[in-house]
Amino acid sequence: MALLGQASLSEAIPMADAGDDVLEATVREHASLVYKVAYAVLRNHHDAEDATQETFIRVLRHRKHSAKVRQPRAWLARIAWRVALDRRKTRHEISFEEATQAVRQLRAAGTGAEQLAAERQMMVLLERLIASLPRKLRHVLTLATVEEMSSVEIAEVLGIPEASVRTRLLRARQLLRQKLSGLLEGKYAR
Amino acid sequence: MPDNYHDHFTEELLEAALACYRPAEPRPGLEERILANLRTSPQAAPRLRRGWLPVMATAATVLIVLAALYLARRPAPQPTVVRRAEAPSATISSVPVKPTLPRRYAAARRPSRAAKQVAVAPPRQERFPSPAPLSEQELLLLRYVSLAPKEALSALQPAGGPIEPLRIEPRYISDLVVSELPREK
Repeated sequence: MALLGQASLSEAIPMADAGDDVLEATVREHASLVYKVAYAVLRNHHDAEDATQETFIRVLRHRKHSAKVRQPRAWLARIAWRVALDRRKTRHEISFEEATQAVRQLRAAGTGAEQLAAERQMMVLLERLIASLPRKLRHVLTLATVEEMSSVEIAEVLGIPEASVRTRLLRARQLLRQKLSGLLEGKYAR
Repeated sequence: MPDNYHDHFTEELLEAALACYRPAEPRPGLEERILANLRTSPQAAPRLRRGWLPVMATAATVLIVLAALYLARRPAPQPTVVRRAEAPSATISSVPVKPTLPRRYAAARRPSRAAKQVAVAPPRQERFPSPAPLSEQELLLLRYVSLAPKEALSALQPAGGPIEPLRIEPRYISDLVVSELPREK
């Protein structure tokens, strides 16, 4: 996906005047990023696709304000982020205790890190650990899981300086490492 | 050594888990589904809406002009004067009878204070009660009396002859006499 850089949104998303062709090009270019931002929050294909749909509907609805936008990718990601946050529901099919117990058992059985990381229980555990982070750190880490998003774009989405993004990301990883280590040793209680 | 191994394993596990935690790729056909939904959504039909906009605006303007003309030609309600039979000296300009409405509508239609003050104060008369013009029945009776012969008028009188005025005789009550009570022994 090509970065549009500093191009104005009127060049990138001029849906109001140029018609369906430009709209189609915009959706084809940015739908994947929007979907991944939504998925990073919602962790569910169906919900992420619904959020992607709603994001583009909001773009159409507010296209009059698009002339002021300088970074269309970040603008779209920000809309998707907010839509996803609005739609987020806490659904836990596996409890934190069950996931912790399963990961410990796998670890005791000598399961390697790569194999353990691919286990569903490990994903649930990581999701819970991320959810337990302070909000500022959690938001940065969640957006950082979207590979296509640079630290500049994350800063644009969250409305914070880029340096803060890097600092918070480092701090979030440190906290996660401590919590995960404590869990594996049996010292950490949520 | 075990601590270093544990830390290394934790670091490796976290990196691998975060890599797996990355958002999945969208399912094939995402863009087509989005475009199909956008084309059927109301927000995706700006051309159609732009086409209807002048028509709707023109229709609304015509309706407003017609309503204004209708209201301008309609005569304004004049306050009517009603004379009350039991209080002939009071002349009241009545407010048109209002239908019973819910409070919020009634408040909106309540006449202003200026409209209420249209009531005309009647000139003060020398006699009380002030003479009122005869009613239609009274006028007919006067006309009959002036035209009817005496025979017809006598027929109106009661059969026992003219009624004499009632006379009440004075009654006298004698003085009260009180005798002495017998004394107790």
